[in-house]
Amino acid sequence: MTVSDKTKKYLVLGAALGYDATQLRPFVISLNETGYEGETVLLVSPSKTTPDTIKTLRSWGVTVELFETWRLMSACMHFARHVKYLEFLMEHPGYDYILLADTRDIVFQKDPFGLDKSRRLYFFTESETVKIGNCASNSKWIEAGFGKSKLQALSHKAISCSGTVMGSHDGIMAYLSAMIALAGKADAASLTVEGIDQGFHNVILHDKLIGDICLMKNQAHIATLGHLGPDDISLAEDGRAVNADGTASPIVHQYDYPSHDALYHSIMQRYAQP
Amino acid sequence: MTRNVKNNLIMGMAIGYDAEQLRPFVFSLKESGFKGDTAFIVSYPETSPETIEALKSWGVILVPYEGWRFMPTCLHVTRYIKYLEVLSAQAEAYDYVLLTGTHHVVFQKDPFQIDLSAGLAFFTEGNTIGDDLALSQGIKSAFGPDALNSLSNKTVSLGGTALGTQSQIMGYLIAMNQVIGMANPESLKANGIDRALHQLIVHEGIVKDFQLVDPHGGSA
Repeated sequence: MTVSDKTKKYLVLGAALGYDATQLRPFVISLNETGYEGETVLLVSPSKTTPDTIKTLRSWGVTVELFETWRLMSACMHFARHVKYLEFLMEHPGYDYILLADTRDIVFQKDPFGLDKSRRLYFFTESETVKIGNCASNSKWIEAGFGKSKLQALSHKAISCSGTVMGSHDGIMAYLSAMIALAGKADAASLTVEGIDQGFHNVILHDKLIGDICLMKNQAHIATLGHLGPDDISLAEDGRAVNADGTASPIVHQYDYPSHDALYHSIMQRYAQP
Repeated sequence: MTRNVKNNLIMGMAIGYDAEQLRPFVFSLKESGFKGDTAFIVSYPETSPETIEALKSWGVILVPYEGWRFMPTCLHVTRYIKYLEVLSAQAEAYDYVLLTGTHHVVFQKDPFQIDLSAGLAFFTEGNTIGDDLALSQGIKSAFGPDALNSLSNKTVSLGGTALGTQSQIMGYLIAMNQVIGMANPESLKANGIDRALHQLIVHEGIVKDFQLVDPHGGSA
């Protein structure tokens, strides 16, 4: 099945703290344009999200979920959001399939749930060639959390992006629980390192801390552009991002990287405030 | 003063307690005739599945809270930021709110049946701060000896318990979170330190327009 089953209850869940409506517009409006009929929930905090942005998000059909406890957490927002996701899903167990997603640098081109959903969890790679050991950021995150020996053990492994994870309610709960359990084992100081959740995410994947994870190739369902060059993706006349093989991934992530300037400006123009 | 109590909320932290410890709270509250909502903050696995099921069957609203694990403070302190988050998400849903401890509380009457003319009530313990060694040490460790000196002859207000309109309780919680930011971070790890933070709010005018109620219900 390649389109979302309308009887299922879908959720796109992300954190929008620190962003304004203009920055979030490409995410929300492009998702709405795909015909998505599930729920979109974004975490906000009144100290980091203006009343106007909250009002605008609601007018676009987004459910805003207040997140205030991050203020006392000794952790960066990238990690803290997962804790709130877990709390939210404990309180709202009725979703069949869930996408955890970054918000500011994602656009949707097709139904985000248009994959077979036969697996409990779907992770998405960032590159078929760049591995953890030859990416400075990913190396830093693994080492900060678990030391040099863990970095050595994982250095030849693929990089999966923690900014997009999809799964069943059960799968996502297992993932978030594993993320939190792993944080308890990691160096406590690492929790404050921006982006540390990606280090934890890759340890969950490569140490097989949860079963039944499907690792999808980059550009198969999600095109994550950070490690891709200008030849790997191009801008079609209709404004879509098209892969080198002519396909268009349903989700495009990290479109704001400097190497994809034309795409970035096209998206900004397309989703500019009317 | 008798008021309409249908939209009131009682909220407390239940992390680490089992159903049997919470039963006196819940059942005495039911017996008091209280008709509003009761919400407990819970965490897995510190709150067992059996306790979760029992609380649900008793009609308690459960609020999952896992963020406390990553806070360098004791649970007594971390509960206030969660209370604020919950009430912020329920804007104007309740007329009055009671924040309270849980495992050591029983109700003998509907707790909202008191004079609430000021819109916010704190409660006294009957003694002075200087007479309470643990509290004095807490104030000293959180705010230093000068703060203790200025508060030592003041009446002890009961920490963890506040009753008021939803907006005034939210004002109290915002003040509490400001005071948390003012305290020596190391002091916030000590269990019960929120009592010290609460005295500062009550006696240094950080929150205004409240009444201090003595243990027997009169104004102190």
